[in-house]
Amino acid sequence: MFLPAACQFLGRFALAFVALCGALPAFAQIVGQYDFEDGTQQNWTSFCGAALSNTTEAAESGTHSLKITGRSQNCAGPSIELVNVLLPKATYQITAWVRLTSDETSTDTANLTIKQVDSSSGTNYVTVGNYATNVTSSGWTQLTGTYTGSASPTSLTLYAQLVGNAPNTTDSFYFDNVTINEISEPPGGPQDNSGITTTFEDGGLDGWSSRAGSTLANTTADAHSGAHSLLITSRIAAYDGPQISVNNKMYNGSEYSVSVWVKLGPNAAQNDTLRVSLQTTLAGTTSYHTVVSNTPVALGNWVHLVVPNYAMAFAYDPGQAFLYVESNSGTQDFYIDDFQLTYIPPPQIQTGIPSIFQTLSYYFPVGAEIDTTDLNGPHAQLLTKHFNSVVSGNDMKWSSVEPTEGSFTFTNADAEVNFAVNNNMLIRGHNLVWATGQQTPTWVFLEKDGVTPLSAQNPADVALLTQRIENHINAVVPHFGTKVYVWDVVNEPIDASQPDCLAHGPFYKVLGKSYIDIALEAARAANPGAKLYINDYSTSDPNKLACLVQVLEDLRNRGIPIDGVGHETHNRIDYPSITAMVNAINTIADLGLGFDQQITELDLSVYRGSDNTSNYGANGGTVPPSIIAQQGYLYAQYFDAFRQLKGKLSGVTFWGMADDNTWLDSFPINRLDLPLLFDTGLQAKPAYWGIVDPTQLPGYGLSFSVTAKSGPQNARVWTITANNPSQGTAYATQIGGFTLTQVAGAACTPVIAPTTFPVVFGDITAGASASASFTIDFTGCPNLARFTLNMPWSSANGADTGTLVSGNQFR
Amino acid sequence: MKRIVSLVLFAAFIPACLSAAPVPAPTIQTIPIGGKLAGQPGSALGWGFTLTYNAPSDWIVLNDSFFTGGQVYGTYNDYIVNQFIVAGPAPETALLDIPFSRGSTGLGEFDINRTGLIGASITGNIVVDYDVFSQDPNSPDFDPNSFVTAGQASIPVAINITPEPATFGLIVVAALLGLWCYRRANPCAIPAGN
Repeated sequence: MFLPAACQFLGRFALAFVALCGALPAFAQIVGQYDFEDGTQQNWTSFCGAALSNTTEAAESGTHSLKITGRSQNCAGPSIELVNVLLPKATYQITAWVRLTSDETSTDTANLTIKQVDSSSGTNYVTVGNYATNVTSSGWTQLTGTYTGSASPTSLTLYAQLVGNAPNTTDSFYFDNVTINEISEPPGGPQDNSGITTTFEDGGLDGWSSRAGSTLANTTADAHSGAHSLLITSRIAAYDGPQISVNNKMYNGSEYSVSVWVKLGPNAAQNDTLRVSLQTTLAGTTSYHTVVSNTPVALGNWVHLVVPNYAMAFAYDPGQAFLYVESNSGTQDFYIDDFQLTYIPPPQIQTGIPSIFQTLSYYFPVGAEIDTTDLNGPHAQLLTKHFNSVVSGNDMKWSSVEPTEGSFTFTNADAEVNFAVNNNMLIRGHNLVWATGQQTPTWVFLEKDGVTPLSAQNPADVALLTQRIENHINAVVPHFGTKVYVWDVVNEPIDASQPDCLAHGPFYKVLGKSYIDIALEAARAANPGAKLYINDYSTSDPNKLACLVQVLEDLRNRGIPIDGVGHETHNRIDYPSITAMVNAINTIADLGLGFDQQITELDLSVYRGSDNTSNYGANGGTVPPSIIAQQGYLYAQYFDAFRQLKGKLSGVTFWGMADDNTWLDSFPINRLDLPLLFDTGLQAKPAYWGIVDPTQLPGYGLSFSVTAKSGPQNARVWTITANNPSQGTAYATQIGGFTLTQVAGAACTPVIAPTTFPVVFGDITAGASASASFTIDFTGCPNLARFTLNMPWSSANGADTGTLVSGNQFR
Repeated sequence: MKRIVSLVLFAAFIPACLSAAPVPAPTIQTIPIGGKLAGQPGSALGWGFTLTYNAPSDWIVLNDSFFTGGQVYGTYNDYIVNQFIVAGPAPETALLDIPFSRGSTGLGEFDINRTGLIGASITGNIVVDYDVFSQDPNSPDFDPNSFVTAGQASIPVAINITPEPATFGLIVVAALLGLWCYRRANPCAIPAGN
């Protein structure tokens, strides 16, 4: 009913709007429209110093548009305040048209951005649609995208900008026909963060209903806890089962934990696979989303379907959101019980703790691997507070920037680089050529026919791959220019199992080791000012280190431009030793060839080096706190070592910031891993404190002393007391030995019991003490015999160690 | 029978009274007083100490010491463990001054890392473990069963990391050079007169 009237009303834009109408949901309504046909700026104002004027020089339709001139930076453009126009949590489609003025000859890139100031999440810049859409002076280009309003905004400034290098910073442009359509209302009312809990103990269905005709019944035949559960029978399809409305309970943009216990019904005949899904309907279109992935359910067992952090990312019409339990296939009966939907408040970073990069500024810059999700909200706040260098995790890799030959896409990488530049951060470029061919498009290694593999025996193929490497580097490196100060030109080229020490990947197989030369020389030519690195993992391994040295010396001897080495440093809780890490850096430094060195991908998995199967997160579990403490002590030791390598290390970069976003969640298998400095809620872990202030580590300052002596000479009992003065638990504390060395009196031989070690104290809570007794037979020892006690101890699974050396001990 | 019970109770009462009697705590002060030291990266600093133990009939023996503060920029080495220090009534003395002598006497030393952060201040306590005896441990008749108690004394200390002389000299030279340049560019203002 609404659309025809709206289309009539918009007769002047009939053609364009007809197309728009077709794409819009039934209830879409225009909440803002700006055509500038009245000769005014229609409340649009200057952003970042641009000059605005209404003009008839060009128009996307009609005769008028806005002309933007006098620009001196990317963000200079037209802007309008929308805080009183856009509803919190409603979703909008925003469209505008841009054209460069006729005197501009380049192809620039433009976007629409909303500067969002929110009382809860601070200031964020949210790109509407593509970050970089090509615009020229030869025609009008449409910029369009959707935007979902923040929860409690105090300002929402929509502006258009030209992004990227000059002349994008200064080019003039026209701006016309801005339309803002509300395509999804706020989801039905105020956000309800109270969650849902259903235990069925009241004998009812607790709000659950059938999806497609299945029968739901409260039952006492079985239960996960208490006496009741919900039995689902007579299912007609795999998707048929129990559903519960989450209208207003799950909001677009918020996070939730979802948990439910399931068990196959009494009539089930075989094991099955169940999952939790979400159904939403927006503008008449229904979509389905997996919440808890397929989980095996064996006959006779209650199984926990759980997701600790589910990011709800779907708008829906009022009343049109349901969580439901379904099977992967089949229609067997099943029970559900103890369902819980819990709202997870958005993380807020700790603002009162020391900045990592400022703490370490005397030694080296501190970087983090990022993706575009780190450019807004609390992640961006965490990034700018603690790091002064960034590296893109994936967005500069070959498959990201040149997925098809000659067609380059820098959207995400540009966003990350611009964020870094705007925040005065260093930028590492990663990477140009990956030796093993990972994240490299297949076309790179195929002939022009797209089918035939390149061959080292075919000179044309050799020339083609050489050209492709050069073309790639000649496009990518200049694109970022001097913004990138270090390039990982060749990634992971070393293979100690090969006689020539080089990985025999797809580049090598066609070009031999010359591919490294080609890449380095192309990178040097493309940006003579950038430091050129090769980057590799396990450089602390003696064989790999020897190979690395051999390759570096070979490159330097042949005059190939190589400036530095990246030590990736993806460590495990037991690997490598700090001695080996330090040795690697000293070995390269001691070559005397002036190689720059950086730690480039530091993280510390909670699993042992040989463990590629365990999962602490199985069945809703988590990593033991003793491991988290151990990790903190290890990070402290790493950075003690790194500090002492001042002058040899020019940077340390972590592969991520917080445990909510780590590659180790899916490598080497899907499992819970917590390798970084901040937890999934962006709060500082012991790993952070180990770097910034180890005295804050749990159990720090643990001390031992002899606190009592009693009993006869042949059975003297010494009490050893461990005192934990810290704010955290001293985990897995134990004594590793107990020896007495006589320093005075006629020689004698005390006999000590126990004789087996360790003597285990276990966990000593914050501020607490624990004691152990040793019984010593001093028979034959004179009264004036004095001893020095030597007693090694450890805590935090062996990562915190010490030795009580106490002298002048009479028996 | 009643008499025996009374004796037993009395026998039990005496040690209870003895154990309840407070054992005086020693006073340990660092030399320098206040425990604040400053040194350059790569240097070793140390503390001497003054031990006062005024118990009328008990003697104190020091066992070891340790540092509770952060050791990011250096490490603490205990000297107590290698000294036999006894204080108390005559023939011992209640007041001992033990100066710091590198590698031999004092409380201990703090070795600042070569790369220690210039300007950093490291604070914490040196904790001294000690035993108290009711007999003089230096007496030939000493009986270790005269052990009364063990205890700890805690002394606050601080270490400031200062620039190396060369660095400091460079800073001074740079400052003087800057001043000279400034003066060259801005000659001393001469009061204008008519």
